[in-house]
This record gives sequence, C-alpha cells and structure tokens, in this order.
Amino acid sequence: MMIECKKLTVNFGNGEGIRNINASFNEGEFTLLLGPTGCGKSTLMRVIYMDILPTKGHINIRKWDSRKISKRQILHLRREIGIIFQDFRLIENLSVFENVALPLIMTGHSRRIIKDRVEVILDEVGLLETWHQKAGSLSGGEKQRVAIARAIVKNPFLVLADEPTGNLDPEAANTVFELLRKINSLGTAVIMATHNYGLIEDTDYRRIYMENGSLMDL
Amino acid sequence: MRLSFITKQTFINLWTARIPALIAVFTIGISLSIVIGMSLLGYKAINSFDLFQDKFEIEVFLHPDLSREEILKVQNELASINQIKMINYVSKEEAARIFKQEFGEDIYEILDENPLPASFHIKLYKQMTHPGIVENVAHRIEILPGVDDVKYHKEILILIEKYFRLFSLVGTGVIFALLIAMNILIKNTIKLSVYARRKQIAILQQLGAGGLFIRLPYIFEGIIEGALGGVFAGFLLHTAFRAVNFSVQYIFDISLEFSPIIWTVAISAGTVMGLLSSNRAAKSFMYLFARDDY
Ligand SMILES: Nc1ncnc2c1ncn2[C@@H]1O[C@H](COP(=O)(O)OP(=O)(O)O)[C@@H](O)[C@H]1O
Ligand SMILES: [Mg+2]
Repeated sequence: MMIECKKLTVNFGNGEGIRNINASFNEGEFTLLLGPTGCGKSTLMRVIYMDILPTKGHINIRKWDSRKISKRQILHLRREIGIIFQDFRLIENLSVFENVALPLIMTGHSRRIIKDRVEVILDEVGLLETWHQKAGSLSGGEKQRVAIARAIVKNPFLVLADEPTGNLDPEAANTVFELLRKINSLGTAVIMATHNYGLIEDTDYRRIYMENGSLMDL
Repeated sequence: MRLSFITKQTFINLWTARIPALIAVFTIGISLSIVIGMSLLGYKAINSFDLFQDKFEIEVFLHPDLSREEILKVQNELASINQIKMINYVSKEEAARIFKQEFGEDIYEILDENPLPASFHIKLYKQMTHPGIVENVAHRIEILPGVDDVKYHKEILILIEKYFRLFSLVGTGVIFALLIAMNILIKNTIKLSVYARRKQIAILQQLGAGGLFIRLPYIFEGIIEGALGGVFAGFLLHTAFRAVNFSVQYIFDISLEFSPIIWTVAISAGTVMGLLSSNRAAKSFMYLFARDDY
C-alpha cells in the first residue's frame, strides 16, 4: 500500500474541509478523483504532500506518518512526489531549463547530470526547443508540460495532478492527459483530480467520488 | 550547480530591486563611516586622556626655611595619603636646573640668590585624576605644616573631565543608534525583497526546497549590500581624514592617520552587519504550510 488514510479529517475552522476519509492508494495505480467544486479534492491532495496536516485521523504515505513527521521529513516527502496544479506554478522569470531543473538543483546534483536528465525529460514532453525561453513566455499548454517535466524529473513514486487541464484548451488538455498516462504506464502512480469528464470517459482507471468533504460509497 | 543557481538568484534579486539596494548601500556607508570615525576619535581621545593622566602632577611648594627633618616629615605625611602613587623631591638646586632647562636662562645670573622653593612633585593613581578627588587631596596637603602652596592644572582637569564624559556619552549613544538603524534598514530591504518573491518561495517550498536553499540568495543580498556599504564607508573616511588632517592637524595636534586597516574594518563590519541583519529577515514570509493570503 502506498497511501493509507484513516478517519482523515481536515477542518478549516469554518466547518469546511474533508471528513472522516478512509481510503488507500496502491503503488503504480492511476486514480481519478471526481466530484463537484468544493467537495474537498484539493484538500485531500494537499494533505498527501503535507501542505496541510490532518486535524483528526492520519495519513501514511510510504514510510511517512502524518502523526510523527518532522519538518525536514516533510521536505523529503515533497521531493519524492511530483505535483501539478491548474495554475502551473512555474517561476516565470526563470528559463524552462531552470524550472525543470529546480528539483535537482536544490538537492545538489552536478550540472552535467542535471543537463542530461532535463534534456531527456524536456524531449519527452516535446519542449526541447524551448530550453532557453522564459517560462512566462510560453502558452498555457506548454507551461503545463513544463510543470509535468518538473514533476517527473526527480523520478517520483507518485504524481499529484490537481485539475491539470482546468486552464487548457481541449487539444492541450489531451496532450497533458496523454503525458500523465504515459508516466503512469512507466510505473509512477498518478492521482488526478478533474472535472473534465470528456477527457476520461474512455479510460478504466479507478474512480473515487467525493461530495461535501467525504468519499461517496459506490 | 546549487551554488551558482543561488548566486544567480542573488544578482537577479539585487538587480530587480536596485534602487532600494543602492539606498541601503549609501545609508550603510554613511552610518558605518560615522560609527568608525567616532570610534577612532574616541580611541584617540582615550589615548590622549591617558597620556594626560600619566603626566598629571601636583606641585607642593615648601616653606623656604625648612630643615631636613621637617621636609622628611612632610614627605611622610604625603606618603600616608592613599591616592598618591609617587612622590618626587625637587630641591632648590634642582628647581634652578629645571628652570634653566625650560627657559634657557641661568637663575643665578639674573638674581644673586635662588628664589625658587624646594617642592614635591606628586603623581596620583590614574583613576584618581578627577577634579573632585584632586581638589580633596590638594586641600589635605595645603594644611600640612611646612607646605607653602599647592599647584596643579585645575581648569584643564575640569574641562577634560566635562567634555570627555559628554563626548563618550554622546558618542556611544550615536554609535548604538546608527548600528540599530543600519540593522533595521538592511532587515527591511531584505524583507521587501523576500516579500516580492513570496510566490516563488511558496513554489520552492512545495517542491521540497530546504530552508537554507531558499534563504541564501537573500542572505547573500544582505551581505553584498553590507560589504558595498563598507567600501563606501572606507571611501568616505579616506576623504574625510584627508580634509580633517589638512585643516585641523596643526591646531589640535591630532593627526589622524588613515591606515589601510580601516578599509578592512569597514568592509568586514559591513559584511557582518549584512549577514546578521539579513539572516533573520530572510526567514520572514516562509511557511512550510501554504497560506491563502498571497
Ligand atoms: N484554506 C482554506 N480555508 C478555509 N476553507 C477552505 C480552505 N481551502 C478549502 N476550503 C474549503 O474546503 C472545502 C473543500 O475545498 P477544496 O478541497 O478546494 O475543494 P475542491 O478542490 O474539490 O474544489 C471548500 O468548501 C472550500 O471552501
Ligand atoms: Mg480544487
């Protein structure tokens, strides 16, 4: 088991959040997180990379336990999870290369290793020729592919994608989804929250439905 | 590649906020030059005060017709005064010799007889050379039998005491105020720089960047601003010393030598100041757990 949630609860203090979630996620699995806006998809994802700690219950992600994790360990956890957001969250005044290389730079890899690795990954997302461009100058679809490259450059065991196609036109959305499928086919688990039912209708990935901060029993 | 990335970030930050950075450098330079200049003057003043205390003497003139025993008695009385460190007997003959030394004329050639009285030259312990204490001691000596007159540079003593105290009080106050002002200035400049990049910092934290990796560009920024401020302070001091030496040297007999060490002191002081001030400031706006108020 890669992730195990037990009575996982996040209370934002205004009665909102997620409630009493029991769920588990397997290594290498592609999971779709579905449900209306405000049902708690983002909150669940934020708990997984420990951007929020549970108010009640707990979550175990591989060797990390939300009840015992230290600040330093939270950073290590985040370095082993790739995260993709609807709003890309690139550093716009840095080059595409620097954005993708960031996770490797911060962990102290050598320039040669970083260049080789980033080259392979940028080629994989089809953006090799944008290497020197500022991230801010790219189109939405390109930005999201850079974000994907940044997420997978460190060989994560899990990629979290929170509405990754929410800001993209259908064609770009398709490219992004295909990339995520490819990543998953190479063995990385993916948890993707989405509204885009058209995009996923032909897939038989595991689906989890949320409503009002709880999982729906199906 | 980590260090070169951090260095590049530092210079990007400095360049984007070049106006506040320049203001910081200039202000640090001015403050630092005042702090170092005043410290040097203070050091000089303490030295000259020290020298003055070393030279300070009370002269005790004796009645002209005292016998050897009576003179010895006065000496014994003087020796029993705690504040006194050294007693030096100057006989009539010796006084005449000193007179010749100082004025270049033989007293016996002007007058038939030596009118100079014998005296004791007294030195006090250093910490006793304050107007009140000296006056007290002088008073005790005055009433000793056989003592004719007691003389010392009372006015100078009072003047020095008064200005020395004022100077050291104001000087210390100004130095501390400026140190605090520089600290606040660097802190705020760095905080501004960090605040402008709060989104970028949040992204780095989501990626799992370590605290130091995130903070170092801002700490380097502070160090560079401090060091450049130090260079500017060295330049200001250099110029000021030349001007002061030119106009004041012959009046006060204070020659301020601009030693190259001042450059080293100014630049290291600026650097340390920058490091200490920016380290704390760089921790602001850094949250391990994301906030929604960006
Ligand atoms: N930081 C926050 N403070 C207060 N309430 C929040 C915060 N984040 C989310 N919420 C609330 O928690 C609920 C779940 O939000 P979210 O997880 O973002 O839903 P989803 O991603 O499914 O649209 C919503 O009602 C939202 O308003
Ligand atoms: Mg959401």
